[in-house]
Amino acid sequence: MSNPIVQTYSQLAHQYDDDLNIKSCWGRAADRALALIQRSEQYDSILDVGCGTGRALALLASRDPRSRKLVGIDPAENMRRLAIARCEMFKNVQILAGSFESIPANSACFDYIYSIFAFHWTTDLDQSVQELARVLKPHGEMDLFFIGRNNGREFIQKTTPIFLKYLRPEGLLKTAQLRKQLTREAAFELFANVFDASRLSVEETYETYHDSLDGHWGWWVRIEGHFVRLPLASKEACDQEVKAAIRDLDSPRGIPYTIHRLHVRFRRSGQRPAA
Amino acid sequence: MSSITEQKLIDLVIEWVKQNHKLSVPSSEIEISGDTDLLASGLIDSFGFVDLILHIESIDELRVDLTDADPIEFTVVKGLCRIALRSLSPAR
Repeated sequence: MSNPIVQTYSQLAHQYDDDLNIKSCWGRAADRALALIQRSEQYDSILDVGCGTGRALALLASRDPRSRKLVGIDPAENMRRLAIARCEMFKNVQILAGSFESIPANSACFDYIYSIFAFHWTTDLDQSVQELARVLKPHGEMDLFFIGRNNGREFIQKTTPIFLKYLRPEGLLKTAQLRKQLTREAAFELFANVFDASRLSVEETYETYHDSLDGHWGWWVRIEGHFVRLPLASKEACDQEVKAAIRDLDSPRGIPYTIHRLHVRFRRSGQRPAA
Repeated sequence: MSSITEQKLIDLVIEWVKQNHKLSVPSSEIEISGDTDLLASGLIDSFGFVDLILHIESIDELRVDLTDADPIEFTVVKGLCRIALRSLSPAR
């Protein structure tokens, strides 16, 4: 079977920019990450890995000089189609098929690489870090945002018994293995094996977002790839049980969901941010 | 061929869980036995199970085959150990 995450993202690409997803905790967290993206005038070429429907690229392209080359890569075909349509007016933007594991670019060709909530979907951590190091220029910089080991702990505690019931132990573990959720320490070690550790830092944040059940269900499109093995009837029953379990978490402020975000920063020599 | 006993494996699993659990209490205050349900108690989550199984498989020649595993057996320390020990059974 091809990568179920990529396959599902492609199938559901048309839903990805729905208001419910954009305004959900994940949409808001992505906007916060986007606000931290560097826009140094020294960058001539920028790479967005896992560009999705091209929201970040289009925003950067609308603000930045047309002489700057912006490249977005994504493995999901229909996400790329939407990104191409969105960025059509910007002649300096190029959208290509690619992933962390295989970046379609020559070595040392980007001044800056960023990625917003995509790195945890990689199928091969080591290969991906090698690829990032390969295409980044020697004095290049990088900001990667991805989810950490303790992400969504409220939901995980409530929903894992349900997923265990429907996916059975083997399916549950295969599902868990689709995401690479690292601790901050493990992330630093992973990148320091390849990148200059003196220029590297990994910052972690925990942010709890409160929302309604419908609000949270709006971002479920992001994880549908986990359930492709479930027959439709089971999937519907599973969804109902999951919704009931999530509803149980309701409080006066809404249903909480804590995003554990890791931020890998790689800076020029002498500009290492505080860890 | 591994000669590990069920009790020895249970002890190793308990030790691992005490070192890697997700509860915000010191390991010394956690009581775990062979009958503890690791999921219901909140000690480990699905990622924890992935790590725990890798740990079990690093012990001797054990292999955790989950193809037909019963979800209820799987989450209990003793049950998980029995699933792993079945990989050593001559019948398989």
